[in-house]
Amino acid sequence: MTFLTPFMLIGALAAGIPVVIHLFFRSRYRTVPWAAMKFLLTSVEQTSRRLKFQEMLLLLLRMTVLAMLAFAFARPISTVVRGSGRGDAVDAVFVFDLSYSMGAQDGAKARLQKAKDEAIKIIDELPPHSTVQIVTAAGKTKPEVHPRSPANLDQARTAVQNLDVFHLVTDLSAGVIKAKEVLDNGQAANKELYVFSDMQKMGFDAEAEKLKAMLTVIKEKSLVHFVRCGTHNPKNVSIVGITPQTGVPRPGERVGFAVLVKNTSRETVENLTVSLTVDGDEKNRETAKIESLGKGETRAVTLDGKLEKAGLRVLTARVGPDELEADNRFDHVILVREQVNILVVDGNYSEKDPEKASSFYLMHALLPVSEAARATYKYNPRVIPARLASPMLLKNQDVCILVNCSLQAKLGSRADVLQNDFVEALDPFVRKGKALMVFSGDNVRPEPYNKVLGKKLGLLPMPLKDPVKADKQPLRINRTSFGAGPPAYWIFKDEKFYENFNNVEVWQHVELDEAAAEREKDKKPAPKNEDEPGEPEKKSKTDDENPLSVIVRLNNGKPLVVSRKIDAGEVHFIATAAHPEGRDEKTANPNWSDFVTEIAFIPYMDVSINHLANGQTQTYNLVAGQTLSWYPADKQDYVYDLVYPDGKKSTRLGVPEKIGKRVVITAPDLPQAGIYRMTVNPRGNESTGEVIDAGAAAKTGIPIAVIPDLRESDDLTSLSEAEIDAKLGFTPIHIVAGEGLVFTGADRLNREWTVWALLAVLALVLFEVALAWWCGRAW
Amino acid sequence: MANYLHPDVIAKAQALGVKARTLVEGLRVGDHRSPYRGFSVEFVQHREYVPGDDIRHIDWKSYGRSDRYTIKQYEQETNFTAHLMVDASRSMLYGEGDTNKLEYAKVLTAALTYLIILQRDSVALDVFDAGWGERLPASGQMGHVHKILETLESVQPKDKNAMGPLIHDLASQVRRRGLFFLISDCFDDVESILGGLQHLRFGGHEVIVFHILHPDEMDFPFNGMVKFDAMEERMHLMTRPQLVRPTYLRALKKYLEDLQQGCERNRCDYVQVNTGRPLAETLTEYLARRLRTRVV
Repeated sequence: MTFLTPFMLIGALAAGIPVVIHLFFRSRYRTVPWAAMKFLLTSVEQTSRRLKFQEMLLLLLRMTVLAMLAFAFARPISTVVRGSGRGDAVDAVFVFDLSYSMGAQDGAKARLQKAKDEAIKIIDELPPHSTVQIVTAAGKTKPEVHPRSPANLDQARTAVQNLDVFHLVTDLSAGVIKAKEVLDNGQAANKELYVFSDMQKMGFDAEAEKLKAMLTVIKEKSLVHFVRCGTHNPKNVSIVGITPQTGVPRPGERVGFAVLVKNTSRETVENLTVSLTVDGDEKNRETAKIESLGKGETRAVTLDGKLEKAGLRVLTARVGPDELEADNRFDHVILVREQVNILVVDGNYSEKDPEKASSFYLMHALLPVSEAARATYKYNPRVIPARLASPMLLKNQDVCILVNCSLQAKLGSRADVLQNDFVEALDPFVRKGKALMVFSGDNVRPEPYNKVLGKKLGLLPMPLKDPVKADKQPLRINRTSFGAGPPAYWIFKDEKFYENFNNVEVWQHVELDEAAAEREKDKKPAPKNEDEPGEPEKKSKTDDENPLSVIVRLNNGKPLVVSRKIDAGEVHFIATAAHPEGRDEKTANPNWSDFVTEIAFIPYMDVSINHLANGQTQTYNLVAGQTLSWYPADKQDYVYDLVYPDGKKSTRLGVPEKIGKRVVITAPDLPQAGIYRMTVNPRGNESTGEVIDAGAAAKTGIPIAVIPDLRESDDLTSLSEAEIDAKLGFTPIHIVAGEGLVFTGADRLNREWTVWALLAVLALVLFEVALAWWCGRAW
Repeated sequence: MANYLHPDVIAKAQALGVKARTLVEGLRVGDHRSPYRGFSVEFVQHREYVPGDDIRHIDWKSYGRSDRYTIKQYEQETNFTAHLMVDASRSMLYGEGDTNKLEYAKVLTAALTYLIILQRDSVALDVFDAGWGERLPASGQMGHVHKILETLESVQPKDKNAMGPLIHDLASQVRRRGLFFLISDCFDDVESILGGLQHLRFGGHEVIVFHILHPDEMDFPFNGMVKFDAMEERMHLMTRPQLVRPTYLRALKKYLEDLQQGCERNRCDYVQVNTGRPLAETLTEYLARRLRTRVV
């Protein structure tokens, strides 16, 4: 219960007036000498208890009357009964869940349309002089508040009608927090909060405590309504990925793509059509039918797409029909190139005896073709000794592989040591989107690696510990552990063909400090130096995506290959050597491993290079709600604009910002899925108009593919009213949109208890008069 | 000397006189019938002679007519002694002016004294509170009125009322049957009072109780917050009188009923005297009633 005019409660102090009067009259008495004391005593003895009771009763009644009067003037309103104060103006705040599940069809209308209709009804029922403000809530985006003039209900109606879903997950907390702020600023005594949502479980689970705490505070002063905008679980399939079936797509090829389609609804969906287009070329669109897709089933549909030219190509897969349109489209940007340039830096290079070079087997794995075919092969590896490695050599390289490289000279060792400038050049190389692989070996000593690659440059996925040697039995690769790594490697777990991974013997490996890496992961990354204040924030986004993963483990549970995404790039560390590095004289067992001599090594390297090459497009492929952090290789002094998928809206991103040693363009919280285009203009010549030429942008702009946040449709479970009550810890007013249960003005009147309080006062007064009369003792 | 003999009271009461309703034993021949028959002038009856009778009382004329010895009996008229018991306890001080109970009692006492002496009867005065105060022996002299008035004037209430034992005391002191006037507010134990009255009646006395009450005591007309100071005790009571009035009046009524019924049981005259009412009216009304019920 709350009060519309709570200051009137001060009037409850008037309840003390009867007591004061009582004491006043008690102090004002007259003295009478009395002879017939005997009868007086008798009568007082007989009546005192009853009289006291009557007096107390009357006193209490009078106090209650005054207190009740103050209570009535304070205008109590129920927080349980629906509606608002008696015909008085209301400050209503509508929180609209704009996650894309609100776009699901629910009968004849979409959920959002139902919410809009219900909101318009509520606006129509509001008393005169009410205000309405609409707060959007979806994902982690900053809530928007409409309209500018809250008292203008026509504007509010228009704002409601203009609402559209974002391709984000349900998260009501930010919207509710904003709603509280808006409610607090409202001037009317009556405040009402309406949350229009499909009550998806995720919306209550995300920031559950914060949401609960905020709504609990709001309900103290406002009526909280939950308007359910959907009553049935929609049939839904979504596209969850597009994977090229050839490792590195090359221009002019017709490449097969596996389009992953998942049924996220609670029933089988039939007669689905899946299609794929490249760069929006509808003429060459390829389609496939899925007769039936079971509940929870994911199916890969292979569709071809012709990649005409090298460069960034946009793949668009669609599926349908179903009842939730928003996740039926999946855009993916791939980089089509002639070859993948790979720089192999060998720390144990030997021209005289190439077989003893640490990169010997690796180079064969990267070029498993004849001499004649090497020029046109997809990989273009080049090996150099460590001492010759220089930053210039990194130019135009896609992947750099360090093989048994030493970072610090060691007394008595003849190993080549990497130059400092080369090592430091690896940092921008990786962070701009390229890949680094590091193979272990005798020259890989933990201390300098941890110091330079780890702490200084932050390129090491995990801290290194001293090498561990197997005793009598070699360690072996745990093939099933590929399942916990990136999906590209799952093939090694699933396919029988790759059973020979079981034959790999690892006799020595560098131990990776997984526990330390986990601890580091939990910490918020600190700036590398004081002039990089904004970096941690930028990096945190990547951290949220779980950049650290163990690709494969040994049978002793220790990680063998680990990866870490670092800004736009990725680093792989292989804990064993790319060469047997000599054999034991007695047992002839390899000093490190025979991994590279096993047949499994070739597909392993192929998958790894593909993974790293495709991963270089990660800055072009985002999930809705993520921040775009784009690292321009050149044109760093240009002005960037971002054109939204609809081609109508654009945002000026400005000049790249320098953060530490790098420059970056950021666009926070892209809420809509689709293809964004980033345009570049020289400074001073940039377009001065607000509207960017969408047609030109589509041709020349850098494509950024944003897909819906698929967590939203992965679990479309809605909470029941009881479950919502349990999660919130109180019972809000539940309304089902479209069921005609929206309250009317008459309902609103029922909520204020003033009339009832005044009637109670009247009843009490009458009772007091009757009691006083009955006692025969009116004052 | 205060003027306790109000002319209008005397004038109205004198016409009615104070006649002893029952037989009184008097020393002198007066207006009152005497139980001692045989020697007076007023014939009452004949009866048969029995051995031992004084032969001087034999009616010889009757013997000549009936040849039987009969004795003539006469009724002798005597004067009587009226004992006026006046309550001078502190409770009698209640009331102001003419309604003051003690003053009212004094006027009543004076009036009765004058009337009784005027018809040649004797009057004794006994003033009391918790014990005996001033006491004047019986006298029929007109000068005795003056003494009584002086005595009444000098009465100053000091103590509370405890009349029951005093009535017993007086009843045991007075041998000769007479007339007892008890003038009091009777704020004592009813049983004790009735016990005393019964004792008096046992002695053959006629008893008249003048119960003096102030109108406030009968109506309890107070309002507001009142502190009642007890007049006979060191105590007080603060209350809202209007709240206790019904029970007060009920208690008073019961007390009056008990007292009145006790008096009637003992064949005593009970006269409730409201000091708000003129004494002449009260006294005249009582004497008239008394005349109507006079035993012949």
